[in-house]
Amino acid sequence: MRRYLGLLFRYRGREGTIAWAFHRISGVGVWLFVILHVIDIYLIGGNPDAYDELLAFYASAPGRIMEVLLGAALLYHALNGMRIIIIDLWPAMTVHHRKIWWLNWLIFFGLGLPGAAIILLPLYREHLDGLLRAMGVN
Amino acid sequence: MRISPRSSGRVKPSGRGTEVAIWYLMRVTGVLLFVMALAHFSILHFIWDPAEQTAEFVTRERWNNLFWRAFDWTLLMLVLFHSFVGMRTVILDYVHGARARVVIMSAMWILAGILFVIGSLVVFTLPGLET
Repeated sequence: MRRYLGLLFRYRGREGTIAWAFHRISGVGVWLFVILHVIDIYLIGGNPDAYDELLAFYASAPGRIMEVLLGAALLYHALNGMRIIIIDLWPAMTVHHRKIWWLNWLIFFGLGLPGAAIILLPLYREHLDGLLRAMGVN
Repeated sequence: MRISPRSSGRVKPSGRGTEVAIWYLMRVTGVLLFVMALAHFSILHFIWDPAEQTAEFVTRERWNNLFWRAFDWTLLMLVLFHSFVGMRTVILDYVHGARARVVIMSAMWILAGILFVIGSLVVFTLPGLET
């Protein structure tokens, strides 16, 4: 394991290396979820009760945290993939590749934090309602 | 392992063979997935909460519609291609023995074939579509 982690970070580049490592990790993560997701969808036809049970797990607290991680992996991979394509198609953009990387993080957190707040809402809705009541709102 | 010094993408292979075709197809499927996978995620995680999603919801609501079945099947084809070809790149980077490569890649293509079959089967045969 250590050997592979070493291999992953062997190139002592800067943003480009980290971008590459994250792209690889998030890609493998999404691939694993795709396998699970095709199997769970298959259950709708094969065993609907098992599907409902699995979806109940997806809606639980650990399920929602994993859902946020999946969304993060997907969004990172999507944004960084677009950065790669832009630089491949338009090599003049290479000089700006670090700026695009930081722009990616801005979009990642700009979309990702509200997204995570929506996904996790059922876990803290009661506290939020209590807080709003205490503040005299609604 | 080849890493482009100027970006984090793979260097475009030279020539006109399969590897170049794969290089282009990864980018084409990548752009399509950018739109379709993020749309799919947003619809089923922000518009619909997982707590509302049961087998009945998928049959009666989500897939009682030719457009969404076609959308999800297209997405499945794109994601199977993009993820398995991506995994091939990762495996070829870390596994160097000729025998080990054959064994692992054979297992990967079998897995991809199984996911293709069961995924297509459920999209095409699940009842509930009223046309």
